[in-house]
Amino acid sequence: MALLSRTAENLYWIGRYVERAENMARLLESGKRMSAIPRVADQPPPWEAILSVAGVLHTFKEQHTELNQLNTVAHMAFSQDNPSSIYSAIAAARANARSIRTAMTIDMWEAINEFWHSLLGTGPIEPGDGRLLPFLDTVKQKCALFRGVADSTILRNDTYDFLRLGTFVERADCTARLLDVEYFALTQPEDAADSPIDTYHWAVILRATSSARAYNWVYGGGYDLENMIDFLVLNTRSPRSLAFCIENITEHLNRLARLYAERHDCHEICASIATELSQNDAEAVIESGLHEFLTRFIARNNWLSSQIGRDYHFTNMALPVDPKPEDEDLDEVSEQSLNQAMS
Amino acid sequence: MGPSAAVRTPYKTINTWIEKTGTKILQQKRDEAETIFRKVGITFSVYGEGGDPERLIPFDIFPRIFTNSEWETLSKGIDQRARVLNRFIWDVYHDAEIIKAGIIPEDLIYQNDAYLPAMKGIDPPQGIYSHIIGIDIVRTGPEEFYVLEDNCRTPSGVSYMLENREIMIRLFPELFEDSHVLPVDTYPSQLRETLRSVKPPLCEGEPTIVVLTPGPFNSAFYEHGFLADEMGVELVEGPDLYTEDGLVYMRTTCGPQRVDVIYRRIDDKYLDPQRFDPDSILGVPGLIDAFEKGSVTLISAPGAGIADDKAVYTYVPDMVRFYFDEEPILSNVPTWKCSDEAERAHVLSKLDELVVKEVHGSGGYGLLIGPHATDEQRAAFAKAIEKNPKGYIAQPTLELSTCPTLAKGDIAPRHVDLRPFALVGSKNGEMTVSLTPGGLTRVAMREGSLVVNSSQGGGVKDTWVLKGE
Repeated sequence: MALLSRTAENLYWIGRYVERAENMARLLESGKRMSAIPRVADQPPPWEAILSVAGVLHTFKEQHTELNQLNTVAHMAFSQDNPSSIYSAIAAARANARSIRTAMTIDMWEAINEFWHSLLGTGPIEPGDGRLLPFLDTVKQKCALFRGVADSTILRNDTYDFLRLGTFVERADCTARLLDVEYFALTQPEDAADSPIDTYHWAVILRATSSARAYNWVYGGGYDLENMIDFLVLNTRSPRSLAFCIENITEHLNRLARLYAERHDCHEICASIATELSQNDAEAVIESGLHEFLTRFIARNNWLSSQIGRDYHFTNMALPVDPKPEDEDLDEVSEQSLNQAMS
Repeated sequence: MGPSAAVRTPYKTINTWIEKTGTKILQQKRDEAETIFRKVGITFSVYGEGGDPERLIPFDIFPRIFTNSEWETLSKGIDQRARVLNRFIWDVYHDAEIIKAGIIPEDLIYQNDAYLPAMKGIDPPQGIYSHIIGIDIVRTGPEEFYVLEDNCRTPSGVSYMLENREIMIRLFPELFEDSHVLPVDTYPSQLRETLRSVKPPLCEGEPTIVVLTPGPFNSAFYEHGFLADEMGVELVEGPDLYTEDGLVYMRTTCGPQRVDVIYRRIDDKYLDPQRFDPDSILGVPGLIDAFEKGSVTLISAPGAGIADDKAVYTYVPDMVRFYFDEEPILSNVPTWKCSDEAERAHVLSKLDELVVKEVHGSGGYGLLIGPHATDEQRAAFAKAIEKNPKGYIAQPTLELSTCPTLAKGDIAPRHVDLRPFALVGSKNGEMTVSLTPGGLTRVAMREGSLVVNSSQGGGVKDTWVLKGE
């Protein structure tokens, strides 16, 4: 039996919002760590870059004039005016969950409901009060808890597929953006690739993806651009890589195709993205330009997301719709502010 | 407890248990219950009361208890009342015999907001208009029950009947060990069966049933989802549905799917922007056309509200005599209609003794409790009655029964009422009424208060019907 389109859409967005909250926490964490890197004179702290990669620089500028940790954390963690903040994402996930209570297990509902209640009583976090990193850890744990209870309690039917589609579409988007911003930080001219600062950046990106150890196991340590790209883009064993996300999206779309006995355009788009990833290696990606490669990926991933909505009759009632900016925004920030911020 | 505050026999067992347990532990259990309600997200308020949609209603751990013979009397009365209300609505929208016979004044019907002229001559499946009837009842003495009001549209509170029992079993499993309390958990399957039994003429085979909710901002939203879940049917909002060529569809991941029976929890006027309120975004354009064509059953039928109007209420005993040639089993509370000159004069002279109710209001705000009101409040009501006599009725303050209740760390009597839920369906062409042994017991948590509405600080209790005496 088919699922109510609105239920599918809500589940999809719950998956996206929870993943987004987690990625916001990861980005803030890497920002906090980057700000601890020794900087050359006049070099600004990393907050503008963090806001850009999170896709919220424009909403930040509408509300704040000063770029600092206090304002960045306020905007990315607690702002109700920023639809991508941790608070807004979890509030939206919870509102979506509440309107489809019948499609959620009690454990899933309790996890998201308690998460939301706990956020209501948090904030603001001042620099130096020692609360930021523990708070971000808690956010990541609660996101993991939600995914965990979903995984262990939800029926393996289409509800599961739509929830997981949202998770992986969002994760692919976030990994691509994270890699893009870090890559710009790393490949500024005249930088020797093995300078201590670069090493620190690689460590930050791995930390932001919780995969420092995993990287070491796979590549035997040593930060190397090709290995990093392989790890975060092409390696299907790495759970935050683009290829891993696309592999999972493919699996869930195929399950839906079997269940409903119908394939759609989204299946074709997904297959073509998967092919492109599998036919490339790290060297080829670098040669063609990593930034161009990632920009193209983000655009195609967005296209896939909207096509899934069209093919399964989403009605866009799970508002707010994706508040992420268009891709010019990413280009602009990559080329301008990052050059300034990181050179 | 009766008016004399003596503890009635059915409460003796639980009283012994209460004394043994001690109020401190009971208080802890009560807090535990509240944590469970909050965690599960059971929030609620009774139809039409407004307020915060995610409010918790206080839960009292002392059950309200009925003996089997008391319940027997009540069931017969409710059965009769549910049938007569449906018979009345059918009559109103067909030959209007009760008006022609001069029993009910025609103004009261045709000038009533709840009367829908569009329904005239339309036959809902099996002739049933109101399928779920919540009848608010108070007990004033042994075997003496009065009906306070009927709720024929979309009465809420049934989820509390079920959840209160769940919580009681979770907190005090030992109380249920000898299974002397009749179960209530059959309600969802009976509801589903009721909805199936009134499938529309154009539905062949198994009907697709949905619950239509105004959405998560509605005060009874928890209940809508709960019932859909318990019945295993979709919970839909207006935009999930659409009509095409007089058929109703829901939007699914596999495209459109036909819908046959809609248990709608939205008011008549929002049902169909093409026919009623054009600004409604909760409803479904074309729904009433589909209903008239016989492609979908609406639960309850539009216009059913004419039977639960507070002024029409006063005629229910007459309806029983008129249609069934029987005496009513359940009495109405004696009621004075302010539209009648002599009765109005009586009401105005006894404002300090009577309860005055606004006819079209609900929820305890348009209400004057004479003995507890100030002179200013009484004067304001007198003025309002003079200005719009048709808008008010008055009733005596009843010696409501009380029930032991945990209040401020102590056990004290508090006033209660009861809303049982009757299901009206059809079997082999005959109207059937089924009644779950239990209901929603509302309790006034403040000492002496007679107002049990949750918006006025009322709480709820589990309701027990005992297997034997």
